[in-house]
Amino acid sequence: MQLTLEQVLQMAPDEASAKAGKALQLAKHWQSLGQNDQVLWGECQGSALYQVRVDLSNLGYKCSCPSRKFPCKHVLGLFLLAVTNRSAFLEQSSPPWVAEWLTKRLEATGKKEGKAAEKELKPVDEKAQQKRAEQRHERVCDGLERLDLWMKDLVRGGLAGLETKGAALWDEQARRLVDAQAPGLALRVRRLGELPGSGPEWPRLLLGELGRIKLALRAFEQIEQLEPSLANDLRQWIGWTITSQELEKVGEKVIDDWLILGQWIDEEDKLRVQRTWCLGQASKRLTLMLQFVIGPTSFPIPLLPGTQQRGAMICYPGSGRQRAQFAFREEQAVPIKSSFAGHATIEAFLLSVAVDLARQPWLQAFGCLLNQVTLARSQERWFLRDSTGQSLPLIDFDAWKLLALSGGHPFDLAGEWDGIKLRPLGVFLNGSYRLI
Amino acid sequence: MDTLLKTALVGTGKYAEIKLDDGHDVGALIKSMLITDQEEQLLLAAGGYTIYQQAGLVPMDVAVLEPAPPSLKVLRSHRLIHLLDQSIQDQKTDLLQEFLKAMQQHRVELPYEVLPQALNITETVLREQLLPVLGERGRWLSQWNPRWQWVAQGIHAITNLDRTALRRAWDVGKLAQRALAISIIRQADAAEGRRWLEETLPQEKADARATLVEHLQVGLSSEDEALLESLLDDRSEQVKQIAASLLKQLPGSAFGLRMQTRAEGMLRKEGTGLKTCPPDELPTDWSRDGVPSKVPTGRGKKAYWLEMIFSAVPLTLWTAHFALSPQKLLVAIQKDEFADDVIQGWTRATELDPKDSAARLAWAYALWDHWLLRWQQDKKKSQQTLSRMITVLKLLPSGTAEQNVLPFLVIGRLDLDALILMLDVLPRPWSVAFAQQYLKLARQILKNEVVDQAHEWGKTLEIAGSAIPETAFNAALAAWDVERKAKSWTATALTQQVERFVEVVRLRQLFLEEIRSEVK
Repeated sequence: MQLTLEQVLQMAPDEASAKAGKALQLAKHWQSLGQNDQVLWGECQGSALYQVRVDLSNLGYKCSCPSRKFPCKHVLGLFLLAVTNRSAFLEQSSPPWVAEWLTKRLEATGKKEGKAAEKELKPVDEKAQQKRAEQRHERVCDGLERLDLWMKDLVRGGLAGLETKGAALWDEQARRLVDAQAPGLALRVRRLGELPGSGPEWPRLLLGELGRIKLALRAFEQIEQLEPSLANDLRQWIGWTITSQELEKVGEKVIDDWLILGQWIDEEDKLRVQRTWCLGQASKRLTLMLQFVIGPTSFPIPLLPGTQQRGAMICYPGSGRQRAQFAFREEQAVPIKSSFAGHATIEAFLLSVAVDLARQPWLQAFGCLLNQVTLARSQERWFLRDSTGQSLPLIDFDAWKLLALSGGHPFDLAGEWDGIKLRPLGVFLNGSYRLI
Repeated sequence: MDTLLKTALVGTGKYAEIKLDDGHDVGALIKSMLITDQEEQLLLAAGGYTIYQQAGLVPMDVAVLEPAPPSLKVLRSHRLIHLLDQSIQDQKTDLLQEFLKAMQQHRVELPYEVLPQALNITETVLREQLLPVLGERGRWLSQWNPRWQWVAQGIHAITNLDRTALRRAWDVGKLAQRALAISIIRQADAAEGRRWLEETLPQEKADARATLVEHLQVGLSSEDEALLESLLDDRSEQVKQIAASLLKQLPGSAFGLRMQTRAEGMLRKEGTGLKTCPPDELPTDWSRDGVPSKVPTGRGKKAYWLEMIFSAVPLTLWTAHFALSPQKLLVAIQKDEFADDVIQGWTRATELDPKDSAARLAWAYALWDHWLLRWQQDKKKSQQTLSRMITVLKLLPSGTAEQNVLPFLVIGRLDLDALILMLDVLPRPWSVAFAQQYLKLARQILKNEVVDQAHEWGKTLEIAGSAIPETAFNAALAAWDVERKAKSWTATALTQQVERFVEVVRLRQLFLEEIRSEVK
């Protein structure tokens, strides 16, 4: 595990945890620090003696403290100490409290696999399954029909004045869609509520989003006629999920060295969605891994941006070929060693966006890899500029550090494009990959 | 899309028919679908246009930023970056000053990573030290952010934006905000600050006048003399005194000359000694110069006037006037009934002579001996005597100053209040000999827990952390006797303080070692 400070600090659930973690990064706060090939551990004196361990194969961790933040300050402190002073950890075999934890982790993985296998062996009541699927389809159809009527009512009455209506208008529709088992669409409708009054362009943005939803409703009416991959995309967009077992069967498995380029967390009330972009070094597949949690708990699969790890990704079925998840990972994660081949110009990148949209018109986020771009500034706003002078606007972020590091010279960038602004996630600069 | 948007905003209900752009692919496509429902038409067209526009987005052209010229001497060690980053974030000014100084000595530049944070620093003393280590990249970077103009325009520079905000605070803010505004503008542009005061003072209440005038201290120069002289006619006694205290700092001012004449008239030779002859009643022209007719409780009028007038006259006057050395002058005044007051005045006047002048140094030596003796004789150990000692200690060269403090580093004679103040003004880094003596005492204290005021002792360790010289790092880091189980609160507190001290020394050692290995 060769992490950087930036990577560790990015794991912190909030600023306060990062600060508290920093305060614990000195060896004097720790006892019985140790490490071996598999695991890293230490005991930290707080209100009690807390035992902290980190699984080096996937950076899973556990601390015995009662904190509800994940990772807690002790885990962050141990990570930071490992980065700044690795020699403080003595090479030795795991003490019982660490070995037990590792064994339990292995057992849990085994159990999970066992359960999955068991489930697979269980005879499937196909009739009942079919019935359930039909019932859901009907419910979704009803929900979509009501949504269609409601949207038409909205445009019949006019969008002007919606900015005074508040979030309840949208929340109610979103709730109905949840009842109709269309959670994906529900989330989109709730998000619409953020648009009215958000800026001078809100009517255009709102109308555009309503139009996009309308296209999906229209497409769903004819889903049988769509290509299976596009139909799959549409079903996922509306809210059908694919279980891991199903994914295992239908997903495309890609074994590669995966560069974890960057991640960010999209928060919607209590729901937190972690969006991680990964790139297969040989396959050149750029995938998006989504993890969902409610509240400030840790995401189930630890993914450390800025590292690369060999493993298998299973890509979700669909024409977008974007979403994926790790099936397994081997060896330890190491820092990203070399840059990636991205688009040479912004025009080429936008062309690829157009191709993706032609394949899957509801795509709203696009992984973006650009080589040899620079930061530019115009009217107090930051842009990413290619060598031809074409530029894309960047989201509001503290760009000064990137400007200091790059000095106006070119770098390679990995980010997420939402059709309006580009969110930088990491850059390859002066021989190393840095997270933004 | 604009026509569609207008229709959607107003509502399709208001239109008999909605217009679709036939010439556009999307408009033509929707028309070909033969949809009669207007809302259906509008929503589908909106969706179509949105995706069409997204797919056909044309990027804009933005001018290139002229790249930074190459830098060759930039620090790259992750440890150094981390240490600098932490010291800036935690606002550890002492540490940062030392780090910046070391960087300057080794002719290396700040790592790129910490440049934005460093450029955000507002402390003048740090900005001065930052300038030589910003390097090409730092200077290049500073041009893009108006808040970093100080790099090109001088460390006190403020942006026009800041200037407007300050003026606003000055015009409509509360007194504290106005005081802050005047202090900042004085630092950046003393003349402008003076103009603000000249415009506003006549309309201010006495309290506000006093608070604001005090800030003329920032950037004080002979250009302020006219304003200050006019303030001697202020109705408020407090304002007058503040103006007088500022005027006395201006060499060659009319005020200074008036005070000099008065002082000379109050001290004369009588036999081998000196004799004071203050007036019985306050002359009216003295009152204008801030000498009050009513003096603080517990002080005699004559005594107070003497101290005040003598504190406004440079000490070189006396050595020249009587052709006596400072020591001899101090002996000569001893028998006078106002000897203490004259010496108090002389001590306060030390700041008026030019820094590092031989005359001031000679006075500092003599005054130290005087006040030390007074301290030793004073059973109550008055704060006033101590503060005089500190005033004088600050003027002494480091070797002498350390020699003077050494006798205070003995367990039997430990006076923590005095020690903290003295250690704080000693020039840094300390000499090895002084550091070793301090460490010896610190180790004895930790071992025997002979200090009741653990908190106060901790303050000396805090000072020592940044004052110990590099050559004494190993002595400071050698194992401390902290392993035993802490029994008392004092023992625990002492142990924690030592740990903090060791941490700071270790950081300093780490930084200096790292910087050396980097420049090899």
